[in-house]
Amino acid sequence: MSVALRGITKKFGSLFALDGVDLDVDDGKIHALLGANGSGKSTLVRILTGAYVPDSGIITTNGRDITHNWSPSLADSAGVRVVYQEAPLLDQLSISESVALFSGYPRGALGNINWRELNKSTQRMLDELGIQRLSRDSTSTLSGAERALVALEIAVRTASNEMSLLILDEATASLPNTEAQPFLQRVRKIADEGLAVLMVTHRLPELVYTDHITVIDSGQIAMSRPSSGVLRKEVLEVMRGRSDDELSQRNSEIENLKPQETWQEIVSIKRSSTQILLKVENLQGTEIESLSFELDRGEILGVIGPRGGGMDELPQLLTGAKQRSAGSISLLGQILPKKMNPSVALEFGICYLPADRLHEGGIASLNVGENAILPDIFHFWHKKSEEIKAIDQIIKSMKVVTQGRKALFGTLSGGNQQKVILGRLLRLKPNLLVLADPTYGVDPLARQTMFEAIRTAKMAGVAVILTSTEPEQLIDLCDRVLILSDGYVKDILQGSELTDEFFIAEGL
Amino acid sequence: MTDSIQSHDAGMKNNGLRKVSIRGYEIVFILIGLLVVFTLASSQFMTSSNFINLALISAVPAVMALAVLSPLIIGEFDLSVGYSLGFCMMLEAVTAQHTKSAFLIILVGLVAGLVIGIINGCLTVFSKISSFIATLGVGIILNGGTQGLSNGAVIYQNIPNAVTKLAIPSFLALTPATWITIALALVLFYIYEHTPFGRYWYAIGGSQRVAFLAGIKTVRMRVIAFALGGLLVGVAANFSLAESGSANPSFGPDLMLPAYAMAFLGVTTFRPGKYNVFGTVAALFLLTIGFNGLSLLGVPFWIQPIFNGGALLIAVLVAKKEGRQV
Repeated sequence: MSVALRGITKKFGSLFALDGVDLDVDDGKIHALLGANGSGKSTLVRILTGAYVPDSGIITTNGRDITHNWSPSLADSAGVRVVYQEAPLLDQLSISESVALFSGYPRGALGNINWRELNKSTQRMLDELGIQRLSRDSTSTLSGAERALVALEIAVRTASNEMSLLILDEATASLPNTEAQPFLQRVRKIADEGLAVLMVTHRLPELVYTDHITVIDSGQIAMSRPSSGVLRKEVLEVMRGRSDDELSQRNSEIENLKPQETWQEIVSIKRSSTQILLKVENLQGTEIESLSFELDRGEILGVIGPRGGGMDELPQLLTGAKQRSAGSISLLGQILPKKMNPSVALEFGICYLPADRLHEGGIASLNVGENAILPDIFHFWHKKSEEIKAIDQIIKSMKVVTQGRKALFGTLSGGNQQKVILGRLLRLKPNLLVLADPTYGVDPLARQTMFEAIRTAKMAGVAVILTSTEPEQLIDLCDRVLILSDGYVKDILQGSELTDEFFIAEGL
Repeated sequence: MTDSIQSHDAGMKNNGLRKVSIRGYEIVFILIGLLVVFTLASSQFMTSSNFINLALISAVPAVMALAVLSPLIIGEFDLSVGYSLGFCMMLEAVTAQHTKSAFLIILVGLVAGLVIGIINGCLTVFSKISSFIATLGVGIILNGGTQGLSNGAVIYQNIPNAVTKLAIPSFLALTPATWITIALALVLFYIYEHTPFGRYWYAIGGSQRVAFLAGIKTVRMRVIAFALGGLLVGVAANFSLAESGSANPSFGPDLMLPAYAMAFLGVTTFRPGKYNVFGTVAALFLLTIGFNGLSLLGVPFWIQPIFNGGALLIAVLVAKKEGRQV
């Protein structure tokens, strides 16, 4: 059953979140929905799930108007299903039970739970999906990619025959590119069987799986075309279109400040020493078996590889977020202590941007300003005006969209949170920036701002280590890319090798 | 387009109006309302003797509320405070049987409170036991200690006058205990709001992991927060001993819940959404004056806990309704 929106408008206060949006998601098609953070993308998804009721416009399935009394339960019975970024599975339960929470427990004659039936049907599902686990295993044993697959399957199965629309809300954002492939293939298969799929994504390479691309900007459709023949560059340009104007409008008081100049002021580094900046020898952790490499000032080193291969662990070991079990790390000839806390790493000028933004990046209950200068609270004691200046500088140069430095950090969009955190680190004048998957769940525009800031830091002599789940990004930014697998360096790509083809050859 | 700009302006004006409204200061306004009502309703209410009496009996609950505040700010609970108060008092009373030095007696209470706080902190921080469980365990042990020290009897002999002087009105008709409490509240306010210490604590309360990764020495800061709480319990024990002139082995545990009620109620005031000193003090005023007025009007004694609990629930519900984080 195809789903269509006609002239959907949604206002919050005087702000148009959506302004006359038309959208057609046809049966058997994957329809990609793109847009910068704050473009209206999430509002659109929430309208489809019934969380919001449109102010005007209609929602139809198979041409039938179903907008009347629109609500989550109505959307549910109309067969709208959503798969979110975080699969809603409970780690403490067995896989069977996680599934049963959604699809219901099969009952025995006395109303008791028929565990055998439940385990058997769940096992069948796991086998079908190619997940090599027992249905009685704990849910926590599932990898991120497997969780996503299970969540997808639950969404499809609980809808049975009445399913009209499957929405994927950045469902692959936390998965490395390679691991997202089975998921996307499964989605393709579901679509080919005749279902309408709306795929919200930030990842341009995923567009090859789609049939139709719609870009939304400032609450209006900026582009809607069949996927074939659309270039990634075009998508980016369309997305940028109005958002940049709006941004400069919101931050109008600072229009004379060019971000590059600001950062050079901030990151003025003593460049005197000719020593190698970072030297890592025989580093060992729980994932990493043995790793040695060197890094020079002004160099950007990319790190990529399958989950569990060491890519996630390396940033933590280098910054004291996790203790290394063996090996030495030296910075400018000084050997870092064996037991190293983040506070020690910071003294050496090693700054860390964690991958888990929600739990490790910023403090949602404090305001933007407090988060921006968190490591430097002591420095700003009794220096209120200096503190305000530092905060404003971060907000301006990172183009953070916020209602001001007193706004709660938790109210910012993911991209803006990440920009604040990156700005916080750059202001500390680091020797070495360690960025763990910094653009995870960040829209392409915020991504560009962050990359510009990283490049400027590089020019100022900061060394950068950057992990990513998306090879594409590393190609743009890095001088060298380490491929980590099973705890060892599998390969190093540099110079002319930094192309899509080489990454594909590496199976990434 | 013009339409939307105009309505936008109207929205701004509304926001401006709401900002100067009583948001975050409801407790203060309710308090003023209560003062007016009780003054009109009871001739005994607005008298200096009534207020001097209120100030006298408020010192201990106030310091107890401040004592639970510092663990709460870093996102932990200290459930031992009530038992700890009883233990420190009893320890002081027992010490008084062996020495006449008021200095020594007071010091024993303060040191015992501090040590208990440090033990709570170490159990929570180093042994990584949930503070809820660690401090409950410590509290139960202390209760046993109190019974052991006293052998189950009230100790009222040999408490030196120099100790009980703390609860005898002196300067401006207020007791030294009240003056010390006021000073403590001001100092703690300064520490929490205007020094890096306080901001580290709030950061840790927001997210310990983020604070740790930002280079804040979270281990040390968390132990200090518990230690500070313990030390304040020691202070409260001194005030309490001075007030009653005796140590009762069953005294203490009853003081814990009101202390938490004040700290939670304080979250709705001054710095909405955050545990804070002035909010807690305002909550203390509200609960003490509220019940005092009611009892002057003749309500029975058992109304007090009902009034305290009711006020807490209503305040938090109102704050929730306004979408504040409590």
